[in-house]
Amino acid sequence: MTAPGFTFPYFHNYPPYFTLQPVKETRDKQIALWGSLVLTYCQHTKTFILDSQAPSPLFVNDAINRKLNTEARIAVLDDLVAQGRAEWLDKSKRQCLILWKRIDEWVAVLLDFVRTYGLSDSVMTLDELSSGDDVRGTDLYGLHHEVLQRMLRVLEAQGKVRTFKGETPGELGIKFV
Amino acid sequence: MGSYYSKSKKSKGPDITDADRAILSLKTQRKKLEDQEKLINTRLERHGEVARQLAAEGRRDRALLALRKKKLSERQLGQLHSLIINVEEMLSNIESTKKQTAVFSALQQSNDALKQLQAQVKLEDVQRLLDDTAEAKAYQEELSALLGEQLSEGEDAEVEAELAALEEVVHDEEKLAMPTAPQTKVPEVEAAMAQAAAAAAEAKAAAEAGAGAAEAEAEAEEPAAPAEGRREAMLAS
Repeated sequence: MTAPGFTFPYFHNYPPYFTLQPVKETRDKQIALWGSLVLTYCQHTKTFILDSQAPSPLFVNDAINRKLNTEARIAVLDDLVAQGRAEWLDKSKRQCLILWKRIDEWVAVLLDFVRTYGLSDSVMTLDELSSGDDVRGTDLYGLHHEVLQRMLRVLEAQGKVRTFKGETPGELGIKFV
Repeated sequence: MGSYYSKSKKSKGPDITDADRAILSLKTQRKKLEDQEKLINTRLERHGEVARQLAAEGRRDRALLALRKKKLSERQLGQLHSLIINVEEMLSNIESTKKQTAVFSALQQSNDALKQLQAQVKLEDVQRLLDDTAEAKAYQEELSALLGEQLSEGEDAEVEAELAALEEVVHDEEKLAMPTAPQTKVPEVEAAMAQAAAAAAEAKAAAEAGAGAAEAEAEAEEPAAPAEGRREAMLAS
């Protein structure tokens, strides 16, 4: 996973940042820095699922021969989860859903899209909303289904959307109000 | 996926109609077709690649086979495209019919409303109202005709009187302006006329000389002079 055009912040070149600091204050600051880096990096690369074990350039800097160990990675991601900007997808804390836009922010984007395209009262599928021709060129393009389903849950609770299953499993219709 | 979809059945939101389900299944079909299209496309490329390789190796038979497979895939792709177009066509048909149905029901609703509004005004009522109005109008016309007649009678009398007065005035004027001229010439009168003319000229000269104070007098005299002159001319003729 490379990131052309992405400039890492200054601390990514400082070896001490790749080791979890023992002093709580320093450590909190370190984790906060890493957390915001994770968000901006994922937004830049449009990464929705981050593998905490993968040798991503996010956590590895070969130039100074340093990488963040798993424990530190999990600490950073745990912090994001606590802020509501991430979500663990498995108990082993390997797959992490990164929400560089919060769910409600994504919901606003989707509602805006629905309004501009006049999609009210029409039926869409998950694929259409994340990779269809209609969303090409919008922020929604490439949206992960995990995020989409969380958004739909929110919208459905608000009564703005109605989902229904089709004949075959995995088929999901989304009808906007 | 999980329980929240089943929970959604109770939730508020738009109703799911058969048309919606049909659209969903069509869209799912379209997605499947598109996936298949991708598969066939990659297969096409692979067959072409294999054929080229085999041809380079000189294995004509195998290369031919690969090319035949490629041809087959191309035909399949064409069929797939027409299928996708069919699905798209059906989708747009459903969508436009859905809109038409919505428009139709809206029209029906407004038609009902229109009828309801119209029912509030009964036709015989309108007829009666119009009749009443016509009666009132006729009455008004009659009234004004009557009044108008009376008015013109009065006016006629007035006009008549005015005309009589005018005629009288004209008659009087004529009498004043045209005195009956004598038929015979009277020498004494002629002499008196000449004397009178001389006296008028004298008076005029005196008035001119007297200026200011005599002006009023002269003015009184002056209108007499032309009258005198005119009489003189008449006498001359």
